[in-house]
Amino acid sequence: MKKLIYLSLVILVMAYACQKGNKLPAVFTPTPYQLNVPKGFPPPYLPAYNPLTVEGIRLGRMLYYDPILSTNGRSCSSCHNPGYSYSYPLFVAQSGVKTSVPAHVNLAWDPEYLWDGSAPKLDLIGLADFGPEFFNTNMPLLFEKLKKHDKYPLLFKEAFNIDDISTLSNDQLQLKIVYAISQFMRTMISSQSKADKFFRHEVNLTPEEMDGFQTFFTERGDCFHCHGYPLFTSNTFNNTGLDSMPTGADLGYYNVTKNETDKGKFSPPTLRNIEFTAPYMHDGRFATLEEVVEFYNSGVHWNAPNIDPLMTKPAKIYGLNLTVTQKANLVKFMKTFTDTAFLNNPDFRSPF
Amino acid sequence: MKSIYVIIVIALFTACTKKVTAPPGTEEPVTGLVLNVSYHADQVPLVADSFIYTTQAGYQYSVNNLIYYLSRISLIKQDSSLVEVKDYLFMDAFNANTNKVVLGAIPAGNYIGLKFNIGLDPKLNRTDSLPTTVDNINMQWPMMMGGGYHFMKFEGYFKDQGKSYGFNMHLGTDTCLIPVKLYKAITITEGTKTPIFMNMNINEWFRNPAVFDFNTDGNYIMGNVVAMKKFANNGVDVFKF
Repeated sequence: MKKLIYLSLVILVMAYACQKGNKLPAVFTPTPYQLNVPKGFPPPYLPAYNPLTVEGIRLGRMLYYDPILSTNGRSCSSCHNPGYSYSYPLFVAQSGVKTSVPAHVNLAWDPEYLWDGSAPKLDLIGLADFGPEFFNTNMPLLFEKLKKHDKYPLLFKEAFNIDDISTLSNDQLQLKIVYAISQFMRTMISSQSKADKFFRHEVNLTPEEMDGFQTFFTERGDCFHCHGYPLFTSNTFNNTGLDSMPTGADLGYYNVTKNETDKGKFSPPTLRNIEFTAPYMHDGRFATLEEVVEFYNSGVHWNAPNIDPLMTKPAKIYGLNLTVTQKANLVKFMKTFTDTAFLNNPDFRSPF
Repeated sequence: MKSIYVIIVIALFTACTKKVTAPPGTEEPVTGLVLNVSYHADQVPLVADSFIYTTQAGYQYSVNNLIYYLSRISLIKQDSSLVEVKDYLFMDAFNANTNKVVLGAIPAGNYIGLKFNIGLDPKLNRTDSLPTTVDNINMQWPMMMGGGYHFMKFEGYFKDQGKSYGFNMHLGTDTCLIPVKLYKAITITEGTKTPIFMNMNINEWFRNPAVFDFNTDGNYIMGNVVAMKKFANNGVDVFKF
């Protein structure tokens, strides 16, 4: 009997000693979310400091669509509209600089996201949106609205264990908001386009699309070096000869690194759902895919500084010399990158 | 009663001891080698985007990308038999992480050299045979052109009559696999990681055994079987201990 008492006592002591900081467990423990990585995709970029959780994604999805963050009626979805593959035709900054808004698609594989690499972490990109150019957020008002809201206090508690939003600083609240939104964005995966199914041997392409495929994935068009499958981006920075003497925003990656050899370089965008993300290039200078193809066919400034060596192979100096039919078929092939299952996925649409 | 205090004290100290063990298969090998790879153009160290090198044909050139695979990396035993230490490695001349690689576990013993391929051997050079990392995906060789992977992307610029042009030495396809053998006594000692240092002389790609001329042989060789083969032949001696 004495031994039994000793043993019970020891177990009690061990259990007590193992409690973290001797505190009661938190009421809410976020549920880890397992991202469903499509077959053939590389491992996603999932930062340890912002792990995906069911509750974080739920909060992020609400915030993505909620104009509560702004004082001008805008939400993330204002510039990332599902109808444009979570993009928007063109954003014109107060400075007059035009930017083709990149689509929110497969961002779990695109840590840099922006055209010029100016925000290398997806989780922090949204911080700039609180400024006057986008949300023009009034932080005291935002605190008040969130605190009085019938859902957000619980959602923040569930996602981040925040008991009282008003105990956070402005920076802390903004960080939690953009972390939640980043979690949601990382779940927006496209892998069901006709091209995906073709690569998985589930469907055949039409003869025209097949001809476009040949142009895309051979030296005829040589698109694949920067837009290979399955991401349709190489996540690199390249100068494709858009301008012979780039200046201002057209300097691209140079504006971030100040390295002469980065002048005119931009990140190749993913081509998923490309038919819905016009206009094209970083500044939206081309209205249609046909114009883009014609640029690569005959308009490359091959003497641009730092032009990517890939753009200066002999055939490209004198143009690709694609026929009218080949150009049209190339566009038809690029339209097989459209993923209607992604565009219509209710999990990505507004919860309101 | 005294004994209960002792037990409690022991229990307090032992209850929360974290046993730190590496997950199976991730333990660092104790016995092995550390492959250190450096890059020079003859005596000049490789620096990105610098027009300070000259090919045998007389073109000044710079390099902005040099990525490639090594495969079937093996130590050569004294009886000429091989001990494979790694199936393949992705190498990036401008990424320090790939220029110092720990390989193991390797049987201790005396070896007479190192054998490997520049590029992927036919068993590995099949579309989707490698893990789908971003590096491997970006090295894919289109199915329309035979499938598999680029063996190497060696890219930069050269000057000809005052003008700058790009060059892209992209190698692929099984016929362009480059076998390399380097001889040197290597002793692998139990419980240690033996360092090996080898250097790629990038000028060798353009001169030995055949002078490679951007204008006559090509400055963009992917898919050009004759040019790829000529360039690949020059690769046999690019590495030296």
